[in-house]
Amino acid sequence: MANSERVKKLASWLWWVVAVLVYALPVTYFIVIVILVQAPDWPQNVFPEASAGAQQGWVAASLVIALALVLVLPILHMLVEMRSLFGNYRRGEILTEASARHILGIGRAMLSLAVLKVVVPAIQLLLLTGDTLSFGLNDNFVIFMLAGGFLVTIGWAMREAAELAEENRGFV
Amino acid sequence: MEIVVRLDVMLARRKMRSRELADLVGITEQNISLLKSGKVKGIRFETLAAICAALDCQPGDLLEAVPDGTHAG
Repeated sequence: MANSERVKKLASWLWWVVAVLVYALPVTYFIVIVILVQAPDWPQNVFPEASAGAQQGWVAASLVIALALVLVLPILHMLVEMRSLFGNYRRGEILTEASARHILGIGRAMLSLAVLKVVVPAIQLLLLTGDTLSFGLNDNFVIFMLAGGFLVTIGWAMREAAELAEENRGFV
Repeated sequence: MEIVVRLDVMLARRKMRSRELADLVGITEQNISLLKSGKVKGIRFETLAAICAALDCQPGDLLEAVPDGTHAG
């Protein structure tokens, strides 16, 4: 029981943090993008690989910006799932199917983010240069893939635990 | 076959109230009520042993296997 009390207490704090981030993160991200694209040579600043012969057409630039905004979607999805998960936990709904589903959702969003963080910059560079396609796999990709895979596995395990808990609740 | 709980019969025989049994066994009166109505998936050996001790009876006095559809509860 001490553990569930600890979960409730920590989840209450985390719920507030995530609830703020759900709104603050997209706004901050949008502001950063707006500031970045103010500079006339922003493609070269953001993509040093695009220094030579970068296309300055507004269509390509708009697509690059739109793709940058796509990256925020899995993060936002992750935060919304976290808010729901911590909301469940602070109400004491720990071993439930809904909580397991939220953990799975966070894991899947993290896996999507890992892939998008590789694919999106490559497409952006291609749009800016017209002929350069470059994929960069860094340690972030590995960490996000591992963390996402870990959370998906935990989500499946929690689903099993929730089923057992539900069955156990039927016993006196 | 289905398992029917005869707890209400034993309580009547021992002239004991559900609340008293709940206190002796250490479970809620609501759970005793669920047991009596058979609306539980199962009963732990620990609970069964405590009920048997409180009512001075055997598990067979509390549980009965009857053919499907013959129990009107």
